[in-house]
Amino acid sequence: MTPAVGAGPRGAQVSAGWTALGAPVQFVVTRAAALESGRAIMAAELTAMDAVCGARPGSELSGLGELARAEARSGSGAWDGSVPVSSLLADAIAAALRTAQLTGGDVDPVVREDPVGVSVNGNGSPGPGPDGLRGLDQFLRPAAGWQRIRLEREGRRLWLPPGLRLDLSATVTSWAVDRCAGRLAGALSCGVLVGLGGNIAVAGAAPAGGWRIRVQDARDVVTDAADPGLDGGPATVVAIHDGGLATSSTAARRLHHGGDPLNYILDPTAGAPAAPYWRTVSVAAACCAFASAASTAAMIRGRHAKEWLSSLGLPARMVALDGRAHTVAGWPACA
Amino acid sequence: MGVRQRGASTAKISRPRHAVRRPAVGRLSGQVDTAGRLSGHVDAMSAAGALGAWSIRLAPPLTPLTASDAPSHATSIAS
Repeated sequence: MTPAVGAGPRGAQVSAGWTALGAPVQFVVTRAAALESGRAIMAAELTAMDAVCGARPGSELSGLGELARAEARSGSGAWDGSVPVSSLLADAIAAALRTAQLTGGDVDPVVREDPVGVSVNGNGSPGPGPDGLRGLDQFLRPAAGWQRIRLEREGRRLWLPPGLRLDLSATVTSWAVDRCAGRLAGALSCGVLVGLGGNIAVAGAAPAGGWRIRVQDARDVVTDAADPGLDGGPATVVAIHDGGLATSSTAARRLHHGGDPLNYILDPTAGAPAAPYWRTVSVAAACCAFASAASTAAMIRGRHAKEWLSSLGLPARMVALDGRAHTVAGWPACA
Repeated sequence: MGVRQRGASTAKISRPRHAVRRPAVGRLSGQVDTAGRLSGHVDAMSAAGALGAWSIRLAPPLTPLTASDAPSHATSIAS
């Protein structure tokens, strides 16, 4: 997709309209002359990340299981059960493991290999096909647990037990925007905003008044036959100067089973869709990885999320199923 | 602990005790702006290589959020 380039608010330059890692890209800089070179750098970064971490056949991530099986078949008695990983993949896995630790396992990248292809983690992949899940009992299994794998980051080795695989879909975009924003701000010597879907990271000097970010449930009015009451929902604009902001929502993507809409965010403890409590949760944090981890975990924690986010001091906005917005920890009350 | 500084060279950096335990290993990465504010975060695994060597917590942004009526630079929307 050809990027669209234009002047943004107060002279900021915007490049948007392309996709990477399965999400729409937003790229904004405070120095117009830096836009094109920055976009080229970011496109190269995202292409490399997709080759390594993409949830598609042929990526390094998807080949880990087969690599381990091949090592096991080789019959070498000296094999210690580990497989080599690239530096980039090691970074992505480390980010996923850190998220699992920080959320108490709510967002868990370690899943069981499943014949129906359903991921059981904090941000599960969609069901096996357009007909939705063929039977809930086929995938209602707890996540394997992030403690069952081991990563040696410096040595670039990963121990992934047989029958398990990694699903980085819950963390890869937030990790990517943090990485891109940091690198681009340094390379371009200006303020940078990088967004992938609901995940946004900023770095460098922010524009006057901060980076203004619109927070919204769904891109357009959602047509959902199973839930006709769902619409674009209440939106608001907040300004951030540093770190990141992430939004998790059931409004943009859903699983269906027997005509019933299900939360696509899965609770790893049960392996089932998280009980619906919040429609959308947006969180601001010191980096986008933290914000995304907190927003996804909040969707899973349901009614306990408000107290949890408050205790961490993470500014958050939670939209309940009835459309009412709740704010905590310094998120502007009127927004 | 290696900290990359930018801006005021006299800025004092203190370890965020509420956020980090066992500071003997690992790396605190980030930058200091002209107001002496530290941005960035502790990389839990860069030096130790193993998870669990550190205990860190999800941290809020350095600067408070504000509401705005002006046009937005970007949209945060789940996709």
